[in-house]
Amino acid sequence: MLELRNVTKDFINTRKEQVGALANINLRINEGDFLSIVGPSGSGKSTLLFIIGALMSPSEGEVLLRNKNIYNTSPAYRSKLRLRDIGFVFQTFNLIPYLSALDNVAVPAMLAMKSKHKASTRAKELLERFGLGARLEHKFSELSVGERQRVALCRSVINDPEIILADEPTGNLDPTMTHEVMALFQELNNSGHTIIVVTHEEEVAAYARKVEHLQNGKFSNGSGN
Amino acid sequence: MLMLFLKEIRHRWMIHLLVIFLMAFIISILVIQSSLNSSAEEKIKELSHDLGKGMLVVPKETDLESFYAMQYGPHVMPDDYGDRIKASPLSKHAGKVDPRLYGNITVRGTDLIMVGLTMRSQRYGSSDYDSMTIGSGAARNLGLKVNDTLDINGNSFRISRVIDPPPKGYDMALFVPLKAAQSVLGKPGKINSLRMGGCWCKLDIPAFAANVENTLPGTMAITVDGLAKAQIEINAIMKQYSTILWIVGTIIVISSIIFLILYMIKKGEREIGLLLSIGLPPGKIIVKNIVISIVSAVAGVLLGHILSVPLMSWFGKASMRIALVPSWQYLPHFVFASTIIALVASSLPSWFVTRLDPTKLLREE
Repeated sequence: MLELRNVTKDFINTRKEQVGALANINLRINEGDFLSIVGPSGSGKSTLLFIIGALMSPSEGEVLLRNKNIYNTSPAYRSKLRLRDIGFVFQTFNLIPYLSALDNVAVPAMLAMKSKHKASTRAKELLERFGLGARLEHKFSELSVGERQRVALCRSVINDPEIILADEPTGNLDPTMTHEVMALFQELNNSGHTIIVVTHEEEVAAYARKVEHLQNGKFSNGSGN
Repeated sequence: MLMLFLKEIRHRWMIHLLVIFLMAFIISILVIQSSLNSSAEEKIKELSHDLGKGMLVVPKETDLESFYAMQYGPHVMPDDYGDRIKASPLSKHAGKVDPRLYGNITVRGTDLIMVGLTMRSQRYGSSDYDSMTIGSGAARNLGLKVNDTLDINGNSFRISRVIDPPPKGYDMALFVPLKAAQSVLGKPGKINSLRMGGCWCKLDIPAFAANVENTLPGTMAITVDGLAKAQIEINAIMKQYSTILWIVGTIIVISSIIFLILYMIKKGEREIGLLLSIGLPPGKIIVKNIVISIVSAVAGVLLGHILSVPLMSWFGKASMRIALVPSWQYLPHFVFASTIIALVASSLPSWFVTRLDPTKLLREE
């Protein structure tokens, strides 16, 4: 379903030096997989997730989704992929500051041409499920870190995407909420969704069916297959 | 999409307002510059018809625009000002001195203009205190004819003549002796206009007007020659600076729009990034930026035209002592030009930014 072939990512730092973030990554993810990528800070796991999520072009290599290299497509096509097929939970939440929690969650559904009423109803259901029923109209600045994380999570699943990517989705949550979020991922996985979670916590990674370790931009088993 | 559009405008209302006001100010100057000649010529033509080669002296505080529109304010001057001119060295140039008191009154529900004058001309009837000459419109509205009586504020007047056709603008006028007008209007010993005429062919009229103002404190003296001279001077200045004014104005307008767009993109970089990351099509982001820019640009143009009305009136009064009205004939041109500028200035940077990876905008690298 999703395949990374010889993916490399380099950045230019402030001193104009080339820094390697990922080196020659190969990875195959099948439909219905639940994969955790574990690694310490700076190991390249977030970069890898962005590349899988059609958010960042690799310096070299290919990312094939259903045998089509997504970085050989237009920005509009990749936007459409992100809207309908890939849900992304950012570590830094990336909520729109001037929208309420409800609107933040409902926006992707509205963009997917669902009516405002349908989008809001679905957003409300999700937020209530994550204990945010009383915070629907609160803006980004009025939410705690954990609440922001849960809003971002709700937004990523509202369009029922085939693939859900989560970057440290439990980093700001307490143990109870961590369990609830990971249980939700398991539930989504059981219903056919493909899940990839990036984390530095082994306990969180353990919820997945498969775990890969990333160190200095390389999988510890050599390939990731 | 509309919700995002409106909420973003609300979120950044201050910068939008600032750009609109900046543009409006510049546009108003361009409107004034472009319509100054035609407006001044029009007004001078009107005054030439009214004043001929004469001079109009009025209290300094008089709102000339209202005065010419026959809406008379409270400002007055002593009624001996005519005699002061006659007693001064200026009298040799002032063959005719005509003090008047104008006022607006309502009689039997009809709005009328009372003109108090010294009744030298037979045209305005007898100089008897209780004699009144009226315009044909006033006679018709009040149902009056010659020898009828009209009571106003305890003063009884006999209609000595109905002027038909009346002088331009005086259809609803009541001409009475000056003393009677002062009594009816409650301004004893006062006038609000002094018309002067003479043979001024070899005279420096603006200098003569300045002498009149010195002789009659608290007045302003208006002549067609003076207005024309002021207009020629202003036209010369405008001609000298018009190219530079247009270039600077256009640069500021274009810069304002570009600034708005770049500011919007810079401040909203993360938001554009996250909208892209959650799947908003790049085309919609470009359209959103274009629409916001065009709306701001057109709002600036409209506000600029509205702002040019008081600015031009003030400018006309300060420079030529007449209230000028800006021409709106260039409005479609300004709207068209600003729309094109907004379109070009917003589409290119928006297109560029939406081609980037969302993570570049989110600074998630």
